[in-house]
Amino acid sequence: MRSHKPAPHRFDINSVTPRDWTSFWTLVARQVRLRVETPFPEQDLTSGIGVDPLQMCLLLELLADLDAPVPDELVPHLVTADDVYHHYVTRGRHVVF
Amino acid sequence: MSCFEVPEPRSARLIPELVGRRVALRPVRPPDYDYLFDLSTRPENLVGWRFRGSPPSPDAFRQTLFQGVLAQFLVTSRKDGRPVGLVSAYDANFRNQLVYLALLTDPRFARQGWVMEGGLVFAKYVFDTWSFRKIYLESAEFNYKQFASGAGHLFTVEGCLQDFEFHDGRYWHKYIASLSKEAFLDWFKRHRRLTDSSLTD
Repeated sequence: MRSHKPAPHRFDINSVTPRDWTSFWTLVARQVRLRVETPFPEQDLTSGIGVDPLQMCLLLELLADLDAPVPDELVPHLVTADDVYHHYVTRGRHVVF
Repeated sequence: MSCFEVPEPRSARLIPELVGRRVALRPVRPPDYDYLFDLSTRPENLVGWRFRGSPPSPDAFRQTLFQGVLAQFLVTSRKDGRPVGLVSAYDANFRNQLVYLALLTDPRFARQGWVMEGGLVFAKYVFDTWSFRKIYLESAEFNYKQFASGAGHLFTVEGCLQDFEFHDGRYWHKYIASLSKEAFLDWFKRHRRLTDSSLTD
């Protein structure tokens, strides 16, 4: 059971429709303090977007807030911007199958 | 018989929080020495870590491992106990209530944020355990990029020694940053989910 309520400034995690690419990355850029607001899908998180280990922690926190937590073994597979968005869209609880 | 009112003893949290969401910190043990020697002298860390390109002998390494160190822990995976790095608080200055912090990452877990999470748990432990005002981070320019995004919200850059350190045919700056206790604890509270061990993925 989760013992902490999401912080008040967070977004609505109960939304059924996943955010589109632009909206998702705008949110990520704000929360994680990225330099790039709308990356290309194939852009590498580290060499392309400049995500450092601290931002990686914040990104994982954000994905958990979006109900798309990343299991430890999947973290190394988040290499490009598309990997992150794909994880968010397919693993988030907002998806109705 | 007391001539003053004796206060009731207060309860305290005696077990420190050394566990994050993905990582656990544990003390360094003798069987870890070989791993730490390898880690410190791997090509990825040979220049960036404290030895700055001059690997010590294994004996000298063991002797210096705790030199000047106030506390250090191996950062391990909560899931399977694999070591992923080292966090260290060193050069404690009790007169001025300052201490320095260093992080060493196992290259196999680079860019995944494991050791950074361990560093945040460790910084909280240091502030909880000793009455330091600030934790300092000293970093060569080529290492600073590993956590530069935290400038201005997690830590403050207090100084930059220009063209301070020679590496790869040129001189590089050295950044001196600090985590102040109040600001860090506020940041940590706002980002509690980063390290909350009660949350599992």
